[in-house]
Amino acid sequence: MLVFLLRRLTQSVFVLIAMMVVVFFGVYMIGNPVDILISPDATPAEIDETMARFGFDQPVYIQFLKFVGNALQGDLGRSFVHGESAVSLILSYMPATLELALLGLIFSIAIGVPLGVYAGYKADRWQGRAIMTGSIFGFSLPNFWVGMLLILIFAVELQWLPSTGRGDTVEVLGLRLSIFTADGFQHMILPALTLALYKASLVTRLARAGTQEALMQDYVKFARAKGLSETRILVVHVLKNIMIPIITVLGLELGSMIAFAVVTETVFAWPGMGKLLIDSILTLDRPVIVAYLMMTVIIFIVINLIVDLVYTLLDPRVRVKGSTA
Amino acid sequence: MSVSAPPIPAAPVPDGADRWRRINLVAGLAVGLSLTILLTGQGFALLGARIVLLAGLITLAASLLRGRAHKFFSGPSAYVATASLFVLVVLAIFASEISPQNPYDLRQLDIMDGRLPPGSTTFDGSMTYHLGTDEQGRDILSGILYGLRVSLSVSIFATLAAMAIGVVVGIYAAWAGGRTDTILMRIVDFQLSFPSILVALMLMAAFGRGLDKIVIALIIVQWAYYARTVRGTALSEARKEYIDAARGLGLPDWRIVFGHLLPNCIPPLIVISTVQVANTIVLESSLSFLGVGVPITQPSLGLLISNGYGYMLSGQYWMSMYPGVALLAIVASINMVGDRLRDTLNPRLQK
Amino acid sequence: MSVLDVRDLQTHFFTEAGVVKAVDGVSFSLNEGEVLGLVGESGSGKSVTGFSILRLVDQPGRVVGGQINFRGQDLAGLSDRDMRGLRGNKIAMIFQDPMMTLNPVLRIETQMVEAVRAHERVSPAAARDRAIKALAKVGIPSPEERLAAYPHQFSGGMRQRVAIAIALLNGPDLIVADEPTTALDVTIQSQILAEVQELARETGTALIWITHDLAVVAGLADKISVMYAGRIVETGPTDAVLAAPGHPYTEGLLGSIPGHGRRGERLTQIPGMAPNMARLPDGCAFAPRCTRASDACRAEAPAITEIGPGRALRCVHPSLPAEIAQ
Repeated sequence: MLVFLLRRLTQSVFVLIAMMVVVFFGVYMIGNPVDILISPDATPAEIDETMARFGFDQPVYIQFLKFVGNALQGDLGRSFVHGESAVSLILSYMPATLELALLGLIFSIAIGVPLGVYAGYKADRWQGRAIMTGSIFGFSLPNFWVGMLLILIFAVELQWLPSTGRGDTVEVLGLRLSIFTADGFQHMILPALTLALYKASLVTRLARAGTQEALMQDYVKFARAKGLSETRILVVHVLKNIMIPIITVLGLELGSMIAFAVVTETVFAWPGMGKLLIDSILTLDRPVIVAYLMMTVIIFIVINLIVDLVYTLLDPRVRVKGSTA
Repeated sequence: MSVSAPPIPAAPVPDGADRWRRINLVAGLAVGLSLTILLTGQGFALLGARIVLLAGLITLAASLLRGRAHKFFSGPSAYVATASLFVLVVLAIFASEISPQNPYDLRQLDIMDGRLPPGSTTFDGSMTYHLGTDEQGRDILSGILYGLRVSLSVSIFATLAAMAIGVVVGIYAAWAGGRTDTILMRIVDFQLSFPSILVALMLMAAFGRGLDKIVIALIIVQWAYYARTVRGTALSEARKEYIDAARGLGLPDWRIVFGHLLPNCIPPLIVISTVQVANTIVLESSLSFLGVGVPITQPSLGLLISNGYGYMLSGQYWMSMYPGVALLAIVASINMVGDRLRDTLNPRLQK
Repeated sequence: MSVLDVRDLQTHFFTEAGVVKAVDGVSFSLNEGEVLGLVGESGSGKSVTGFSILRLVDQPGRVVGGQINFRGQDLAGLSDRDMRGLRGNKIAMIFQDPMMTLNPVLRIETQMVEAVRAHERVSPAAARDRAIKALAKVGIPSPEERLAAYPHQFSGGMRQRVAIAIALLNGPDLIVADEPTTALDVTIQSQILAEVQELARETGTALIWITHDLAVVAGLADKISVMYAGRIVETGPTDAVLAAPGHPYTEGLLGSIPGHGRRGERLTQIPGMAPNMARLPDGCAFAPRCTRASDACRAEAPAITEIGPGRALRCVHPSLPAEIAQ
């Protein structure tokens, strides 16, 4: 176990270093950010002075080394636009995105698994086929369009839920979260559903395939021979067997959910990391873009590690390797 | 030695497949070339190129379904999906002939006709705006037809190009093995560990807006996936006897790779690439929606939706809604066809 | 007292290749405490017969005819719900490969307790108690600790004992055992055979032991029915059938058991291959492989005829004279 962890950590460090190189030099190509910060009729002296202040006059590799040096101290530069540290800026926006992604994940499981299991159970009947066709539509719909549609139906027409923005927040463990307030939760429902729809469709298909396969196994026949009800068979025997691959896939997808939040946050004007990123790209706020990428990489690495750990917990065959009767 | 040598195993290819393979190759090249011309040329004007494109696509589809049509068309959904896909593709190809207006020809627009609801007509009654107009007076229906054209051509081209690159890299990695393989796959894994939308965003932020730029970005985002898949297939195919047999015949490496290995690595990619076209359309429309995709002069469906978004909350829904429906239609059709293809080409769960 | 009376059971599979008559007119009966050995090769329909009794036949198959009278009640007419009430309760089944039949991600305790609570309203603690007693009965040491284990932590023989324990949990009147020892080592095999025999005697449970190995049921069964191509070709008390088999197929089976003949003697081989169930010949299904086959056999399939008390045969060229004693 320890060896496993150490090996993963070393790998992660390599990925981080590679990422830093790519990110830094990639972002460096975006364009001359000086043009954003100073008015068009600035004198050459003013331009030089600005460049010196921000370190733009140094050769590239010196800028890179400075960057790495600072990064190791947790300083990834100051946002050109907002003035404060890029890292702390992103961290302040992160809870909003994380809670959205988490709720989206929960929705996608809560919707996808029951639908998928049912579809697998009734695979050859119209119910199963209808659910599968529905799932195709589910992942065909682009993220932003789903969001717009939901806003149109639930916020504009029915007026059940608020259309944009984040609701009231409370401080939990040092983080500002809105999921625990009634108003906050209401604001979260539509964007989380939007995020969840795509994943839910995938989960449905996964769950269906898993259920179909599980139902062909002998242990299902044996369970029937014991006289168990079909419900119990589905909910206890089949579910536990299919959850393992589903959780694995979902865990890896959590990262992409955070990434797709970029679009959802734009549609719903949700003040999260994603919206910050888009704004930063449009304003060429380099440090923020770099900081965002670096933090995303770290999040991904952590998620992958957790997924591996959860997997070993869920599958007893992996866990108790080596022990026999 | 009294034991007679076993017959040299031939590559697993059914009769008559050689001719079809040549046809497919020609059709594929035709599609690729015509798309290149249309995308880089003067905005899709060349009718000849478009007809070649349509012919190429139909040929590829026909060869895919030969002998399996019965299995493919298993239920009503298969017919509906294929029909709608065909109709949409034809509409896209002949958009300039079919649509009532060219929304990007400023002379045809009248800003006084802006923001009209569906069904309204021009002042002199000469034309009906079946799906309404946007804030500049552009007919939404025409916009959709032109937008469909951009969305489809960008995505199909990007997918084909990404597939070509990915296949070459994947097969090379599998064939060369050793260090080369490891390095190439490390690069592939690195890229694959990031969600495509993030990579695409970064690239478009660096490149700026433009039709060719988004195509390049989409290719860069996708090739790694093909490379990894093909490498896997190539590794397992390379172990099979017919490769040994070809080597035993003294064929030069490139002949073996292109003549024997490559054709057997393609089949698994067919379903993947079909679904990938749909995913690419969605990715491109998301990028355009965010403002970092196609240029304003050649909008795709995503950009149209983005344009109309602001007006939606004030009740002028048609500017976003109908392009959205068109987007859903094309993506869903491709996905359903891809689904049927998967079931037809790889029968799993055979009792 | 008759526990099971199967009459002219027919189970057909409706496949793309045609209708496969897996079970085509099978009849037998079983009294309390009796052990029936159902013998046949793969594809003979013996397992399907077992599944048919529990109404667990999977698509594309289903029971299309005949009666399955369990304690006087025809199972075919029961509702799904009632049938489920019988399964695992009054009629239990043991499968061939315990690794596949026990759910690998659930603990033994879970799988045993649910079998009890599906049929009786008892507390989890009481069900657990029953489980421990059942495990002890089948000879599993320290049953209390073993309950918390997962299937893969047991050896093959132990797993099968667990499966037997599960079958016995609710005191069934009938157990259908589908090749339960085929997947086990030979030494374990004989152990389990002996134990099952003992248990059946003790509890008075009727037992159908399905196997392809005649030797296995020789010591265990009270009577034997031999199946071929979906039909019973010979039936009779074990000793009688083994001493003087009537059907050429039974003869062949006996002859191929090592040790049955004398040392140094060649084992007899049944020529030919197992029949293609989708395309059976018109006449006797065994005719292509039979040394005694005649045109009469090939033209029309023989019916099963009683040739003595409890003894029946489906052959027109039996190995023994028509009037057979004992």
